[in-house]
Amino acid sequence: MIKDYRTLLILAFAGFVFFAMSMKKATDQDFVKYQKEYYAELGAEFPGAEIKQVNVPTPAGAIIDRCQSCHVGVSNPEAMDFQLPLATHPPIVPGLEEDPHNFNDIGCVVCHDGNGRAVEMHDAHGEFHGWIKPMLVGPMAQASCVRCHAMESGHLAGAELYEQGRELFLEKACWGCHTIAGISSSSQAPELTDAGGKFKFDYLVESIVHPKANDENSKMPEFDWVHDDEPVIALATYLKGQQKNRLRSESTAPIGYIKPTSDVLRISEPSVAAGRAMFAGVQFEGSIAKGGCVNCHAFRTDGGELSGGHIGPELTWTMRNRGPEFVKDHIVNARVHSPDSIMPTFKDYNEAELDSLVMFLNTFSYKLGSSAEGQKLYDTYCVSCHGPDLKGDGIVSAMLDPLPRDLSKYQFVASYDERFQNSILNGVSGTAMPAWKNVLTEKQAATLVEFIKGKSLSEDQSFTRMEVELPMIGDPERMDYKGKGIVIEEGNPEDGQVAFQKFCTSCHGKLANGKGPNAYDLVHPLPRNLINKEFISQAAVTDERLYESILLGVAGTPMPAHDHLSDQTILDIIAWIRMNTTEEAK
Amino acid sequence: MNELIEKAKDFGNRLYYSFFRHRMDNTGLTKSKIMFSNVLLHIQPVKIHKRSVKFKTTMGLGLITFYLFLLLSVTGILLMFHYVPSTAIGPDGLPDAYSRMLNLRSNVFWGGFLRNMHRWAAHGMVAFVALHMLRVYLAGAHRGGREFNWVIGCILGLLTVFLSYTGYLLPWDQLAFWGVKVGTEIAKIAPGGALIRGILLGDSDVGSEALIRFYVLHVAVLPAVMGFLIAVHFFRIRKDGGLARPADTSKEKQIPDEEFGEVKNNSVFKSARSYKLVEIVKGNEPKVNEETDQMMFAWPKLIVRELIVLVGVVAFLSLISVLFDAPLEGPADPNHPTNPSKAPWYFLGLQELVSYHGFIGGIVIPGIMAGGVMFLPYIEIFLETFTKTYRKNIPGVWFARERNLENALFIGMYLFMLALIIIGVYFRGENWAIVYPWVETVGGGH
Repeated sequence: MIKDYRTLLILAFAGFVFFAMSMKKATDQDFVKYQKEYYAELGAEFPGAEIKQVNVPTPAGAIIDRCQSCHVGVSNPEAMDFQLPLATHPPIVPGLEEDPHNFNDIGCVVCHDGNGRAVEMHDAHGEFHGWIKPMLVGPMAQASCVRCHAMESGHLAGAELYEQGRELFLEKACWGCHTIAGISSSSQAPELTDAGGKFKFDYLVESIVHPKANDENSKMPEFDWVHDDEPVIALATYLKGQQKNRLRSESTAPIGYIKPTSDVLRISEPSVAAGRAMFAGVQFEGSIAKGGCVNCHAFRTDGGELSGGHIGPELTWTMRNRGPEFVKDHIVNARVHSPDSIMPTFKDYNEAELDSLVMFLNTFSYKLGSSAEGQKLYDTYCVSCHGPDLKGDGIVSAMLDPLPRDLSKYQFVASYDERFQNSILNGVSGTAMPAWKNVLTEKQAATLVEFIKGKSLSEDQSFTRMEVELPMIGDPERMDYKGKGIVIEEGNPEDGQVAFQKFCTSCHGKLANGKGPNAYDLVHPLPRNLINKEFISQAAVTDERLYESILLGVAGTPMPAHDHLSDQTILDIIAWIRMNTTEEAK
Repeated sequence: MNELIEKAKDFGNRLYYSFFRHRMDNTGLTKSKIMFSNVLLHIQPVKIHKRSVKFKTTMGLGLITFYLFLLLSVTGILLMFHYVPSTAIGPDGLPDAYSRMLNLRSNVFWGGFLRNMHRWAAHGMVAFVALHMLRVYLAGAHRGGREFNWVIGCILGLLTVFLSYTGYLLPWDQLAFWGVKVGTEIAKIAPGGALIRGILLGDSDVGSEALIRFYVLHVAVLPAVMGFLIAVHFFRIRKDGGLARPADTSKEKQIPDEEFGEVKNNSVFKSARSYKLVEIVKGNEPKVNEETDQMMFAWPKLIVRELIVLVGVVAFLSLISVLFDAPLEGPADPNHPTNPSKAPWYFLGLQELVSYHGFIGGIVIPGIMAGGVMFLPYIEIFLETFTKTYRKNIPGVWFARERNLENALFIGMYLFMLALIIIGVYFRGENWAIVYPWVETVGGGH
């Protein structure tokens, strides 16, 4: 019994101690310590601890801000040399006698985010899991200037990092794919008008540096310049500033922005210089025409030196291969030529701006001598798409759709080599393969074909393909499937559609756009987009070729033979494909 | 002068006897009176079996669960003074319920501690309910007239989980929102589950209606039902003659009936007993049946032991609450699911099962388990009656040899659920893929 009383006493004592600890924790919070320290350093009498709360009025109500409970010295110039968190806030607008920002009115959260209600550091800085707005430290807080100040364009003192980011957004051609209301309009990539409201700073940085970190299927290219911290931070600061939830409207902003005079200036006289500036993504004589082609497209100087990005095809030969009309149409809407192109739509350019770009592209004249051998030709003209080993995996191949042909497959080369000459000289419509006839001579094209054959074909790998003929309509010799005695009729698109949905959709997809469920497991090449009008209706894609590809499959690709289909069914399918890609298609 | 002292003493006595109706001496009469006349102690019998106060009999598990309930009521009521079950967006863009949580952590005096205590006590209560049930089963204390009390206990257990679950939503942070969301999605799989879910949520999805319904359930409905059932649970233990224990049958301890008058143990419950008034007389205590030798007064030994458990629970929880803060994540955002979205830990076994198969894992297996466990004593009786295996069931004996099979199955079930919960808590990462807790994952996300 005595033992029991003793246990009870000990436990009661322990309970009391823990209880007291909880009381101490409740009363002796960090801000009390900081405030004591602050007054001790000031040499002033400690007036007693208090939670210093600022209620920042906003259109939606008041933001509650208790940051100055710890950061007691932010507005006191005497605390300039104190340690954090007691020190004075450095001036926001450089070069002013008295900073217009009064922290007793606007608090800290407005600019620095974080969790204003908390008074414990970890909490207050928003460093706990799932907190939407972790603190923006140092110059990153410039992202918040635009929450109050109107500054869509133009200049605001103290927001240099933000302005640098805005310039980068234009220069690096981010605007080409991403929409930010008032800056750009494009449906290629996620809209960024509320990027800052939706995403954390770190997430923005990560998305710029490693676009595939969160979404493996992201089409966003990994740019070269992202390995440099400075522009990334600047750009992320700019994006963080893109928040729909503004605290002041443009008319109530405490200070307006200085509107640049060139706001509405466009290029009216085409010139090579203007084209060059747009291509590089820099402003041309104050014009607001945006550019930045060089971020994705490379070009060669006359010395043969390659520079620029490797996201889209190299543009050195584009004018010679494609001609000015094609190039202009392609800039305005690349989808008219190849429906799966990821190239953004630049529909805002006026005629003079398009002409400037064309004029600039026309200055590229690099070309190999006529005596160049196969390897040299290939390495100059073909390698960026088809890759050093002919595998169709060149540096720009990832973003091309359809993918460049894998020429290392000997089955493919052995079966179709007679087509190569034509494809090189006249190009393949609906794909990134241009017509090279203005750059290469026929002899050079022949050299290239021989080069490819020499690389891919070897003696011990032979491949012979059956010869088939397109059945003639009404030919009594070609009976239908199982010899039912029905003579081959003209293809019926309606039956073709039924057959297509039955036999083809797993790879080519219900819409016949090459994106069927199985396509995700295929690597190279991917199923053909069969509603690619440009491709299907070019002269080289004959009914016979389609018939052969369906019946026997395509050699060296995942397209299998379909010899279980009757001739009539294949003709029906071809008729349906043709119907989809002719003018009257829906 | 003396007269005055006498008068004062008399006044003091009268004052004392108006509060207490007994002296504080060590006689049996006083010990009985203390138990009889105190409303709080009156729940306990005057005399108990000595076995009941031994640690190994119950390990105090049921008592700890009860104390946690009391502690939760106290801290919960204190929290109610600050909390608002509203999702209305406040001035700083945060839902009211959530910003109250932030206030509790920062500027409400002692608020963080109270919340911690409430949180940890809630988790503890779920755990201790499970342990208490395990103890009762392994000691065979669910049989011998206590079958229905087992069922009540199971209902109490379910209520505990449900109470904890309704409380889980109230902070209205990401953890709460998605935890509850996952749980209610599981409910959809059940036949008629969509209707129950609709009634619970008051909406097609977890939202402001769900918050207010969960709140009312959490602070009013469920605690009231629970309080009543706890009373029934305790009452039946009293009426069943205290804690389950093996009957003393040794012949030499048989006491002739005439020594204390005619008391025949003709109750339907084997261990039921009754007292005669003579019991409260000091001296040679009369004996009831053959158990009397083992009986002792509940005051003060039992009461002190119970106090030890109470103080122990409070002290331990205080320590935990000082050391560890209750989790709080960002405010609930229906547009941004956490990855992975995990239900509270006691549902993670269920969630793990659901991840294999919705209907089988989410409804069939847990349904069979919950139903099977609840009616376990009746299933046992049924099997015994229909297979005519009349065995000796000794309630109150740990790991009785005759019950090895049942005990093994029951422990097996516990280990199965425990393993699933451990997998769910520690080994599931993004997209419910297997991760190893000792391998740090670098996750993006926003």
